[in-house]
Amino acid sequence: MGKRMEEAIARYQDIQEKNLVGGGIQHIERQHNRGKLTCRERIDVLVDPGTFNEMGSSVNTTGARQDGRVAVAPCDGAVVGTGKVHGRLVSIYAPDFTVLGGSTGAQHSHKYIKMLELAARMGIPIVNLLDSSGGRLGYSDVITAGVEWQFRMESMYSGIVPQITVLMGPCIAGGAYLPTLCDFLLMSRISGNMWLGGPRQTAAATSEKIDRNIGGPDYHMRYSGSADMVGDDDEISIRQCRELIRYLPQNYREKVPNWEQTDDPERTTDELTELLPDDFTETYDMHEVISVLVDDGDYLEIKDEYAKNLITCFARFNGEVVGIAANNPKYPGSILEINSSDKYYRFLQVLDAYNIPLVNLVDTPPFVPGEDEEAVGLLRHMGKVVDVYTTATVPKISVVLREAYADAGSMVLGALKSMGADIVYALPIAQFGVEASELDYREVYGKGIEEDAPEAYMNRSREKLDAFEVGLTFTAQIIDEIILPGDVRKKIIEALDITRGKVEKLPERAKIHSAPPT
Amino acid sequence: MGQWMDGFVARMEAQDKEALAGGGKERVEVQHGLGKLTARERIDTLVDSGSFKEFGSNVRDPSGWASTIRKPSACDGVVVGTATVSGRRIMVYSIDFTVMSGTIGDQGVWKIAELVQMAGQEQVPLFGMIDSAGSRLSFKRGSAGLNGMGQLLRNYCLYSGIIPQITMILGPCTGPMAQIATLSDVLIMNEATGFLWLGGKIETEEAGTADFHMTRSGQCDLIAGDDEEAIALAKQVFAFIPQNCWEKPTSIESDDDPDRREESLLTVMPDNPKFTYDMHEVIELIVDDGEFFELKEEFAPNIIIGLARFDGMVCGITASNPDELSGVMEPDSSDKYDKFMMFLDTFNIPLLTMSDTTAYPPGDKWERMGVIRHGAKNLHGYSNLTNPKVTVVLRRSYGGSNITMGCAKMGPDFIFAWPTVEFAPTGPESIVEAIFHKELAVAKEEGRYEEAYQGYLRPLKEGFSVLNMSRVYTTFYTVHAVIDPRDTRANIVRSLHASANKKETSLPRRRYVKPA
Repeated sequence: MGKRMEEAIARYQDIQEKNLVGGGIQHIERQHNRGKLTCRERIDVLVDPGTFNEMGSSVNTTGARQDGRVAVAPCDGAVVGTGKVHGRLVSIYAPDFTVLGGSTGAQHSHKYIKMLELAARMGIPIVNLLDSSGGRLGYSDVITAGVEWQFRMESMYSGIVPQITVLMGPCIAGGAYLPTLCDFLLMSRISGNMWLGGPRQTAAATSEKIDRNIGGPDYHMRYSGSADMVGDDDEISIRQCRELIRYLPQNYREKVPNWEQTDDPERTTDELTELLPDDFTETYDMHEVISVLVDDGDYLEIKDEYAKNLITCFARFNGEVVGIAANNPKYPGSILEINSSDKYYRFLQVLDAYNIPLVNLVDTPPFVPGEDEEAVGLLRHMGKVVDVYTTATVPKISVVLREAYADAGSMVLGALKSMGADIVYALPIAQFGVEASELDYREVYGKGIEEDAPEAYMNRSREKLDAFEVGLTFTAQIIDEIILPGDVRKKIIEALDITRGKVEKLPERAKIHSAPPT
Repeated sequence: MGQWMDGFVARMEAQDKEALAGGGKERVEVQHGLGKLTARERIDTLVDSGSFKEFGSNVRDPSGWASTIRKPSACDGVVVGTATVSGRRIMVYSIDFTVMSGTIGDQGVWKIAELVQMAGQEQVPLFGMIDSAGSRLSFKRGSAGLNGMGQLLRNYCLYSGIIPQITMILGPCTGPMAQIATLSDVLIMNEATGFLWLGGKIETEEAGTADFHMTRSGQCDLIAGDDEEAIALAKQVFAFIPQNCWEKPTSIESDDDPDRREESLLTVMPDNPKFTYDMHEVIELIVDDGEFFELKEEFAPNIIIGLARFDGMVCGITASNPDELSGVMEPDSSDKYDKFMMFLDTFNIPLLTMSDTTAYPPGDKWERMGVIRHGAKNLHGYSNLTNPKVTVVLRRSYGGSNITMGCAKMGPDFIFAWPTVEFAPTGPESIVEAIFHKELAVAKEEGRYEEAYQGYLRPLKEGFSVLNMSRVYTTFYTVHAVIDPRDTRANIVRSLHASANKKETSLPRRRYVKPA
């Protein structure tokens, strides 16, 4: 080896060594004392051992502090590259909180964008292991495109490759858009926090005093509906992310690889006869039904603490990945209202974007949300779901367990064939109706409605019909088949077989979107 | 003509007569007594005289069930057909309240469902006039009514973004039918008779009224005093929209000088930047003949949306209004903006954003409503637009909300700023208070607070000024040109002319994943 090469290699190794300690041992200790992992430890948890390929490792900062002091920032505080998760390639962006608080300098910001571009172009998912204090304030740097460019790229690539953020640090103001523009946001309970303004900014802007619970993982899970999964710490959250990736394809052109077949496709599900109470006013937990039906009783729930009246989860049937959306009668009003609509809306978009079949388990009580919901846009929130459900071209399979009333939301849960459901099954005890509403419009509206309207003709829509009356005709085709409780798993697997080759072409539009409600 | 033919013609004429009679004289009188037009009078008011050709006039309720209750079922309660409006081909349906209170029947629902498909396939706009107390459709013993309802809703969605769908609610609209209202591009409600409701419990007098859906639910675009006004509004908004997504809106000859210099724009803003002004004044000074057609006027008034013309060219406008909530953005304004911009894009109508906005508000109340995801929704929406986009920034352009209004790297075709513009991550005043709070506390004790405060504030504001920021062309908070406020109109007109043949492509994908 020549001297020149030898020196250059030494220089290279020096950079690599310095990179490993990021902002220094002290900062790493501080990170650990907070229970947090460092960015490189996080990457190690995420990827299969030895598969991380770093890019831009010799990048450093091009900025200087306003007082003239030149900063040192290994990798400009962003470790990026590719790695493998369960043998499949992902692109990774991991801010290094030990380096200037993981703040985004110009090079840092570009490292993220370039990884996102690479991911989108090559069709590989991107995972952001986010832990950044935000914009690098107080530094002058190469002036260039800022956060809005990042957000635009995220949006333009939305639906092309899965974008996932695991938030394990603060996420403030404009920076909070990065994770919310992703398909999934996972938050670590000990370290993740996201808000438009912290206590000081909020006090300055609105004089309101807020505490740190606002913007925490449980807050965004329960109230704002922004978080998809919450893990107890960084490692658990990243492991959740590894699991989530197994349920997603590499990009919109591919299907999710099948899992190994571990459960009997012929397995009967007679437990349902015990789980489902005969008396429709009695409740049960739909989670138990899901456990009985899916492979190994194993499912990955999304937004498990938000709008609990509707369950959204990923699971497998005979090794094939599906998304399940199911009413949960355990919670009052297992119907579509605003929050469950928004939850369902997000989930449906993900399924359709990434070729994942939808399986609905339907049980809506005879109840329609009232004025408090109407006043804040019930119809437009349901409308978002109507729009995505009817235009989703992935296989749509549903099983009506007990009750299905169109106005209570069953029509977008697959209990109405003409909304675009592919295969609709019903248990023998199922009951159907057009309207669960019992409102008398003569009373609440009047204005010329005929006196005998409710008894003479409006009652037709309010009549409840059982599965056999519904199964009697194909001109009014609402369902394809009545199935026995013991066969539900088998029939879902059969329906997935039938729909596997589904091709549906929607009427052509000039733009990639329509003008749906919001 | 022979006797044989005479017989058939006579029978046909008798059926036609029955169809025209609707629910009968008495019910027509009730309808008029309520100040409403009948279904056919409404169509006559909407369309060019003599242009209406009806489909399905022979349809009656077929179940034999209607005859058992002895109610006329002319056209099964829905009049549908094709016509022209201002010389343009359209499809129209009008629900007949005189027939069984306008309830939707098994056949009626299919008449509408197929009309929507017809409009979609023929690529012509769809007008709906709803006056329906609810549903009488079924799925019992082969009745295809419920399936028709599913097909109807699905067709609205399949052809959304392909053909314009304009809906007028001129009476009740309830049950599954209520969904049509929000699936439409434009919703007009009659303030005296309009009632939109899914079916849940009602607690107040206002519930379901036009006012309720305008000010609270955010679903109503325009309110009309009576049927005639509703129809007139529908025609007005129609003039701004092309026939389908493949066409551009029609420009007209304008007498208004495209280069009109507007001196009064120099005095719209108060001297103290903390004070507000009404953005409507600015809009009216720059558009053709001062004519601005506003939508959702009373919902989230902190953002203004509407249609206007510049040198005869149609343009949609989204503007923050400093007069309401200081022009901040919040979840309601995000939703209002989102639907409007997607609508403009689908029909190739340019979007002009005019921004003077401080931010999205932080704090428990807003975070709980998902203020972040609502902001993200607007970023997502704007990023995926491919129509011509022009941004004019007027004064405060602060973090978060300014980028949703089309900052430079969000990809507007043209971005201009008045010299008064301040680009900042957040208000410079709050930055000073947040960063220098310790120093300021000391200064306060020493009795020199104001001096210290201004000392920190001045250089910050200087740095954030567009006159400084625009020195760098590749930065994010920059503009293509700083313009004289008086020439705002001329700059917009030139931009719209320049982008008349604009092409911008989106990457292919199955569907994007938008924040809720």
